[in-house]
Amino acid sequence: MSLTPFALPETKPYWDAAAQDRLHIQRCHDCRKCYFPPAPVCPHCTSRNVVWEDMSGRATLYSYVITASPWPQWDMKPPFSVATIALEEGPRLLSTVVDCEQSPFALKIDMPLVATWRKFGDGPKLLCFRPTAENRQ
Amino acid sequence: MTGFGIKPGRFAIVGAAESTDIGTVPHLSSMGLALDGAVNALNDAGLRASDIDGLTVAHLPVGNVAQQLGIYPRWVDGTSIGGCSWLYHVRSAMAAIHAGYCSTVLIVYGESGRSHGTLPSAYDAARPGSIEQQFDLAYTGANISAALFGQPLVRYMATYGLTEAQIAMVPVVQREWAAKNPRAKLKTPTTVEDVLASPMIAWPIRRAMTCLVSDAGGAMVVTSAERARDFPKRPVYVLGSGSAIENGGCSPAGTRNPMEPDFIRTSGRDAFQSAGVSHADIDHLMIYDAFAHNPIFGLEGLGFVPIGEAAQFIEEGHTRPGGKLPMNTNGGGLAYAHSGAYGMLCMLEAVRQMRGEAAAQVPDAKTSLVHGWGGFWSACATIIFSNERP
Ligand SMILES: [Zn+2]
Repeated sequence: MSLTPFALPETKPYWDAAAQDRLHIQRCHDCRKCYFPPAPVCPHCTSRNVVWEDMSGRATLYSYVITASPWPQWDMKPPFSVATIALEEGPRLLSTVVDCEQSPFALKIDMPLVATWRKFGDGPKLLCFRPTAENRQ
Repeated sequence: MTGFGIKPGRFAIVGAAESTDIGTVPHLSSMGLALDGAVNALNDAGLRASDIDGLTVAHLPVGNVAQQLGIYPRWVDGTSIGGCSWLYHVRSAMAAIHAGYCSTVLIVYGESGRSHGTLPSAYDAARPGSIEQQFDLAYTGANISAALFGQPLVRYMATYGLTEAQIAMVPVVQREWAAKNPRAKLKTPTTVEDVLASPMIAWPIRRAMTCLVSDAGGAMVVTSAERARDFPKRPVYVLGSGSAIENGGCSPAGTRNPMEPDFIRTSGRDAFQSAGVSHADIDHLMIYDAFAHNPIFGLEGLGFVPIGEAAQFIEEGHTRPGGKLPMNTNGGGLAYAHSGAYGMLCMLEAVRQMRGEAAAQVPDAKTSLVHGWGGFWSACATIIFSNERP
């Protein structure tokens, strides 16, 4: 299994933006809601009238686990958080919280986070999240 | 909602069996385990391959299974939605027989989860370009299932005060059931302390809170209730069923309400409504336990206990031997066997209970509810069985 994300025509704008440290996802022009993962149809109202937008990067920690399993292909060493992130704009997605002690004491449900991008091993830049400056442990 | 076209007890399970061996079966592949279970189920029903005109298989090629069993079906269903696929197949088999597309359906499962790896196309998640491969698997670490299944759990703990010790009670109780079952893998008692001392997989999930990794197969024969009395074993009637799909593959992040999933509620509601029974009528319960917290979410999602109270319900002993709602009575995926997609094994224990031939038989049990998950936190299906036709 290759971990290197294989972009499709529908997802390439996301990955192109990630390479430049930008969180680029889609908003529906009709119902005004954002959604994830990228797709040519809005899952809220089935409109195809959708546009790519840069997100604020502001988010909260919806939930997580702290895995003890490595991802050798990425050179990711445990323990690291596997986290459900709630973007300020609405959608939730899977990511990891970095620049933070990887423990239940430091990782608080609903804590404010901000997007950051990291390379693991020789993989592409991946969207990650870190505590906001005022919330840094 | 409109009424259901299939009335309670209209169809029955007339043959049911596991593969001859389960646990560690290195001499058989997933296909070999499927064929072995299928032959055992045909023998159990006293049927020959030529009597079967409908076939369902998940995560294996349905045509190859037909060919290797010498079955020439008029109708097939290869719907693959993870571990609950075979519960879903019971629903579609009933609909197909009801429609006149076939008369006798064989539902087949086999998976060499331990010896030769889980089903090759199990979740299709690793396929380059899939949603999961692009947006989920990069982050999970090697234990993909714990990382994904665990996502609803930690927020639930923070919201409802569920403790690690309470989660640990689930395997403790299920070992009590497994102790009564010669085919169970883990028959020795365990304690909360033992569970909390087992290695960490993905906090808060420890090894003793995760299912076994086994080889197993199994199959069932479904036909109409009118014909059911012609078979050697006591028929097990289907009272009702439900199913629901929330999303694909992985990504519990995208589930609308991860702690109170709509898909469990939809599936359970349809099962109860189509069966015409209430929670108080259920004598025996199987809730697919890939992880120890799954039965907690299932008890609540199916409406047996209010949200936030299932762990206490288990702690109070209601699901253990002698309790008022015996659950996972083969020992479950945590202690009996779990080959990767466990739904068929869940149903086979329910059938044994309804026939009165279970290793840890629940006295006088007349109804059994089976609930299975699929694709981590993305699909489910529910079947209510009875040994009495309403
Ligand atoms: Zn829309």
